[in-house]
Amino acid sequence: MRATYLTGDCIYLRGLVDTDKDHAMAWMPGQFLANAPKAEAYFKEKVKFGERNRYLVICRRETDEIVGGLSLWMDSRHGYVRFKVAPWCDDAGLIRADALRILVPWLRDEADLVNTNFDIAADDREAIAAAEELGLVLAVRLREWIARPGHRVDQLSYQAVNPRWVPVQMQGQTSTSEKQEASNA
Amino acid sequence: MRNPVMIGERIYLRPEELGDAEVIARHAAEETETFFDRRFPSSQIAHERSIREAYEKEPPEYISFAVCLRENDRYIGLVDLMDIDYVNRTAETGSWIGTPEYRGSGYGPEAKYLLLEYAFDHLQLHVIMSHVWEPNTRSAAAVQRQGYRPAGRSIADDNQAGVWRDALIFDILRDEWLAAREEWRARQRER
Repeated sequence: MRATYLTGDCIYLRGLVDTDKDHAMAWMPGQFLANAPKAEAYFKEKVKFGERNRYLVICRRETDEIVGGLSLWMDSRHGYVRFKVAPWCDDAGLIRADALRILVPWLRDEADLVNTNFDIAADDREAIAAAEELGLVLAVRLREWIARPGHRVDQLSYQAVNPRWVPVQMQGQTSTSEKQEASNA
Repeated sequence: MRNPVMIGERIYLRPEELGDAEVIARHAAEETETFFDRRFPSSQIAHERSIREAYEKEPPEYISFAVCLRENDRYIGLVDLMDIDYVNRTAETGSWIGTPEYRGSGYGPEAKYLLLEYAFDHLQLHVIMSHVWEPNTRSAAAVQRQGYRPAGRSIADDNQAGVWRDALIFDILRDEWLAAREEWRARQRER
């Protein structure tokens, strides 16, 4: 079920299959416990053809082990990605970084979305490095958004803005509309 | 007052009831300023479903309050908490005074402070965010008066008449809300 076009260096992405219910803790969004009946209920409620919310499983290339999942909300213009990495994985940052390298060309360049948003914790060095290497714009910093044991960290929103829709010089600090008007003048 | 949760000087917040759906849909149809749901006609049936579904999960991910006048129980708008995360203790706020004659008279801030009190003191949330479509300068100024701080902008959030517009993002911590509410109360006393 591996999507050949969604394969990176160490992971690949695929759609959900029935047997994923036995590994729900690895991919299912949320922090609470998930067993097979809860996963089945999730399939029934959430996994529908043509929905704006889509769910993909993240697997290791070498072993096919499920190591996470992602929810992707998208319409014809915008995408919004949230990652979940299995709680036992000690290479979560590398997994998210590789997922970013797969998703950005797919959503920005192939699907031609205007803007795709990725939420990344401010202490996720690998994912931040991948986002910057891919040319994403740091658009939003929500203070103290994520709880860690004994402290909190900011959440960063990196955005993959499509230069075919919004020219690169218009991405960033001031209103795109103001820049567009200035550019037209 | 009918089933109040949070009570202010002139308004109170109560859980939405199915009967509110017709008023919400009518307000949305008559909207000229804030472009609720990006100016797409909204269905009373959809609003009824949304209200029904909001009560199915416990704890809820979405909480919407009806904003009502204390003097006559009239429904004038709504305030809501979206995407509530009980582990990270975060949420997004929204507000909409759907009845134009009640805009610009302090009802919106009063409702927002009651909502934030519910979020910070009843749900024990830590930080709240809000987003404002950039052309809505009144809302952008209002959330900053309420204590929110600029957190960034979502680029090319929407396109209207061929022009891309950003969404402005704000966040607020509990201490900032307390300070802003005190300032607001002081201004109200001076009036």
